Amino acid sequence: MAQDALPTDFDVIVLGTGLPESIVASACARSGLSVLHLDSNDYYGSTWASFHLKSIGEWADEQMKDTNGTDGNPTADFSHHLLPGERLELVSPARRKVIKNVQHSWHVENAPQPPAAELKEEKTTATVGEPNDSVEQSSTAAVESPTVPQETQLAPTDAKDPQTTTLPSAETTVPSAETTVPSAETAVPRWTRDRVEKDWRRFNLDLAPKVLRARGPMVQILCQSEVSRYAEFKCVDRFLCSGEHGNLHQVPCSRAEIFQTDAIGVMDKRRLMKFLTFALNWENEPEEYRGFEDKPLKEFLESKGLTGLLQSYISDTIASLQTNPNTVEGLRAVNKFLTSVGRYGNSPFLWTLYGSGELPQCFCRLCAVYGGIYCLRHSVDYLIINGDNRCTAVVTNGQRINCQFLIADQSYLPEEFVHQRKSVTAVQRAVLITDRPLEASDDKEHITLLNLANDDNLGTVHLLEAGFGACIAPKDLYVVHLTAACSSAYNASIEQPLSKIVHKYFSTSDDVTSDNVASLANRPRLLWILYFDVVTEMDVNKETIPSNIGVVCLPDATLDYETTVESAKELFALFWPDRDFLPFALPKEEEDEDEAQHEDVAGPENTQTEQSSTADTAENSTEHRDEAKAESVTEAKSE
Amino acid sequence: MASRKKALLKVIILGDSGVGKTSLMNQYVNKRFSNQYKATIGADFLTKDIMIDDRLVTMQIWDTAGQERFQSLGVAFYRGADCCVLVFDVTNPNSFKSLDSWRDEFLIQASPRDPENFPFVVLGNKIDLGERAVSTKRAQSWCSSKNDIPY
Repeated sequence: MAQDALPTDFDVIVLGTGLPESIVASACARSGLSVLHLDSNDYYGSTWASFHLKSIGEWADEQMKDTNGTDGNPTADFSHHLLPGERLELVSPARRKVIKNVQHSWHVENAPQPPAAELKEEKTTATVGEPNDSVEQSSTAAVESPTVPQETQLAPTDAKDPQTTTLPSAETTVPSAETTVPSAETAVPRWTRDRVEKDWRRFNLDLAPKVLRARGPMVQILCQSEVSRYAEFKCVDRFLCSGEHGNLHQVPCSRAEIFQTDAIGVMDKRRLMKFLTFALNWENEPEEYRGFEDKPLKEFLESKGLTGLLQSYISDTIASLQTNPNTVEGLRAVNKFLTSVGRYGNSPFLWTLYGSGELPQCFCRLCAVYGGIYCLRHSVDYLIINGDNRCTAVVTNGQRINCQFLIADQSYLPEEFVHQRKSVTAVQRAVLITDRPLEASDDKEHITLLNLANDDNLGTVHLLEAGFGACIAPKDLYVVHLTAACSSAYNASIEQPLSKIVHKYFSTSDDVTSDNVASLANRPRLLWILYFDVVTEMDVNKETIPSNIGVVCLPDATLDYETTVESAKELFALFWPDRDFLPFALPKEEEDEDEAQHEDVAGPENTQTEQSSTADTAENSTEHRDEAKAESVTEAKSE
Repeated sequence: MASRKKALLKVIILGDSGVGKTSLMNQYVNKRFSNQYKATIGADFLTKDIMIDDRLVTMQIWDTAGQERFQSLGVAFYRGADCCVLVFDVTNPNSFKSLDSWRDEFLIQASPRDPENFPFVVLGNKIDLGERAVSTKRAQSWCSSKNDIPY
């Protein structure tokens, strides 16, 4: 794998491969600009990355390191790179850690004996009369399962294990005594650390888990840029909300689901339908909510007779795009939710298979397809600023590379261009590995969304849960993401507030005693957990920063990609107001013709022609593209 | 799911830059060859429908889009690959030596279910140039050492 030398001149240099900068990079390359994309890490995604189990541990350890002063100034002298009037600005990402408060821990032991013994069979508790082996089973088990009473089903443990590849018929392996009276021992599934770690590659743990709203801007740019071809998606197909006693309820989202649900009565169904129908058209019926505009949505819902569970449905789930909305904001959020239902099935949200960290990579691929050059493991030592306070070049690995514009996340900015924020904002995150889904109610695996509104000053906490079907965990294991915005009183020293939620909905080995096994058995068991905070302490100093440096945002606590895409769009429009942002791709035939022409014009100007033709195609949008993509996404989802 | 998976196969092409991955793909799918080298720009993936045992199979052949030049291929590229074509340049021994690392890289990144039996294909490109530096024999012995990869 021989290494070429980097070219020395680019229109745009992008530092960091997080999602917004990757989107901007792809938009630049797409519109014909030459792009160099650098990242000091050896992985894509920066604070938007996904990791498997081993690398997230390494990542966490790396973040926990005290890097103050360790990184040191690069010793080499780069002044010979400077032109008259230019100066060097030191880049020291180590000094601006945005990830704080990292903790990770195991809540299961290593197996005392060789794990093979543990692997033989896994008994799930029967206390609620529902087995939780909801994951797709090996083919043998799937054939067997219709003939087996539900309570006696076995979850095959590990399809790769030679012992379970020939799974014996379920009837013969279940000792009848255990099926009726689950003892404490069998009620606690015997996951061990070794067993979880054995499949470390099957995990894709997101630093910034988000979902795509079916009619949101992310889906739109994915479709029109055809980046959607690089990734697969599945619907978030289960919505839960927290009821009065902390129970979890499934929220019906579509018309059909509302009619089918047993959770609410006929009158309530009618009221809910009436409200949702109104919300679809709320902007045209202002008289309906007159007087409530600035009041909390809650009051408006009460005036419509929507109380209790119905209110939870609406305010916690359907209006979940907003935290503590007033009536107008709430209705807008409800409307957004409802209009996105049905585009790709009975859900307004899509989940990226293999984790949210795929998306930055997909945009990077688009950028590369249009000529962008990619270098991971390239840290930037200096920015070079000229007398007009414009960034003219960067110094990476001792090489000077010129640029017209620089896009970076804040960790790549020299000290001089940022100032300390008065109010620190933070996103608090927890990533859990558990042994079963929350509220296992049927034998299908789900991608679940649960909004826990207003739990103890935390603001809204989003909980996303998914497993094997979402390609983020091995079979029979689940990954849960908790995300909370913590805006004003962030204090890094306080105990993890999310841990309360963890203890409310999950059980750890410490909780389980012989007395409460029955009550806890129902809950997913916590096997591993990681906490961290994404902290924004710095603001761009608008007075000192060169005008040709664009700074992108860190992942925020919102559920979908709307803010991210909008900010990338704004940044692009600011620097290149006359260029289209990720326009529709050329129809295939024309592209071929173009290429054919180029081949006739053999010669050094070939690349040039190609570049300009790419820019020309910017206008060339076709509507059928959108539909075609919609189909392919639907296909992906229905798998 | 199984039937759909079989109907669409994702094939990825790996190898050092300049060995002719993009040309190979173009040659195979479009029967077209361009004599001049430019680092891959605009190559994404091409699809080709072939009939195998009376079944129509769509092959989706993914190019690296030039991201391999600075060893910066992301893991997303490898997702769900059904087959991997390893390409080297018969006039360039180093590109042959790199096959080991490309194969390892693939197995690490794609982590196929059955790494021992994952379908790799090795291709020695540019045999028309006549300055052959990697003999057929050498290539074949490498392949047989890796569980009989077809050459």
